[in-house]
Amino acid sequence: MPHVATPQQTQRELTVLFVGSPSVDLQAACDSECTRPVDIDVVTDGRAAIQRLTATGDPSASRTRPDLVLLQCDFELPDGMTVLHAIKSSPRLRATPVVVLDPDDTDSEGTYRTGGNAHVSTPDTTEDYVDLVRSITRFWFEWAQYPAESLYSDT
Amino acid sequence: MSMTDSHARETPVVPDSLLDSVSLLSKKWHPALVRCLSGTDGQGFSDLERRLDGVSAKVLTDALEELQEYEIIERREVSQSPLRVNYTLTERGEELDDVIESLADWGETHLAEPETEQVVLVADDNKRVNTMHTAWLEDDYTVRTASDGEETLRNLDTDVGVVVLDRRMPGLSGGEVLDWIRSQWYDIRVVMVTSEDVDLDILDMGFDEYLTKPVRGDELRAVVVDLFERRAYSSQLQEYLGLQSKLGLLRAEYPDDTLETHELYQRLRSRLDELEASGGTFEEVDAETLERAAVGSPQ
Repeated sequence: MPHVATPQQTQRELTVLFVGSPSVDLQAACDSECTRPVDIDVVTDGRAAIQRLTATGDPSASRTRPDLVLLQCDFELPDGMTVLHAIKSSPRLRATPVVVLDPDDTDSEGTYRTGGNAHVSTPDTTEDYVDLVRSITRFWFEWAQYPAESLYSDT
Repeated sequence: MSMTDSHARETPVVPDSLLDSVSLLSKKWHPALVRCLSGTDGQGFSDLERRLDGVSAKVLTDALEELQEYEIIERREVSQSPLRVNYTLTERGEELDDVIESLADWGETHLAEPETEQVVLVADDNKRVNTMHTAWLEDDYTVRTASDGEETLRNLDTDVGVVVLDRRMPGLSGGEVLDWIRSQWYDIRVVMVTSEDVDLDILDMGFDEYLTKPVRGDELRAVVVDLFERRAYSSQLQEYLGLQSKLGLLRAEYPDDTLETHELYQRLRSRLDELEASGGTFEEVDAETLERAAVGSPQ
């Protein structure tokens, strides 16, 4: 029975990298809503995202290889699509799920063509926003068959 | 008598002249010698010996004599003492060279194994430099270009084999792009190009080779050829060659006592020694490459 999660694995803190400027306190929202401990790491633009995902020095730093990336395309140079391409072309990160949050509700085709796992509109109200983040993390961490555990277990 | 028979008798399908030409060209060194002399105003014996890597003096002498007999090449004594001889192509030699070239073209078109595409990504914010570097490489490689760090990221994928990377670019710098490439497990060799003087900051950078602007065409091409070869080497050997290049560069720029007191330099030196000690892994590389890499190391 190779795929049964041990209690230890269940307890492992998951890391979400949020790129962009969230309109709510994501960590607080997640602490009260998520069923597993989730560390939300917020960087506000693409350059900071690339720097964060560039693993230098400590190879075990989980923040350089998050379990899920939320990419809110509200920044420029490198823009959201560049960051998405960088992640999806990287031999190290390409299995990491990336959900694009689109404030302008525009180019979903670009997201999927570049390898994004989902494209959703950024909600207008705080309540909807929290709801969305909760749904996304629940989907990826509870329902979806998830690459993280098996891929990362030997590193 | 049928028409075919009479036709065959008049002009044989394979005339002796064709057999003679093919026989001449099928000798290993004959076409090579003609190619060597083509477009030159003559070559000496030792020039030819060097260019035809692997030919013995005896074999070369015989081949030269035979080509002289056919009046394909001409031998002229330039000086008596010491004896210096110059070989040139005759007019009929030049004609033969054209034939050989056509044969080579035909072979390339129809016989060559389809090569896997070799992709070079050229990144520089100076348009002129980008155009120039691209022009030097595009005959032999598929070249992608980028004019800043962001565009470099957008053009980066696992098809890319070598990146020619400007160190200073606006936005994401060459250094940041290099760190990204290294951290993402790409099998990509990087040559860093810069207009600045070599400084100690390069100790931290994971490039494979380093060129200072202005870069010459032959220089860039040689480095790219070398880096594509290196992709086949073990990661240990790649690291070794990269370190050799980096430390050699610094030794050329800085006095020994500056380097010897620099901690990171010391660490890289010991790493280099360590890799050298486990040198059994370097059998895959030919001696020439190692020799080239060792240029600049202490005697």
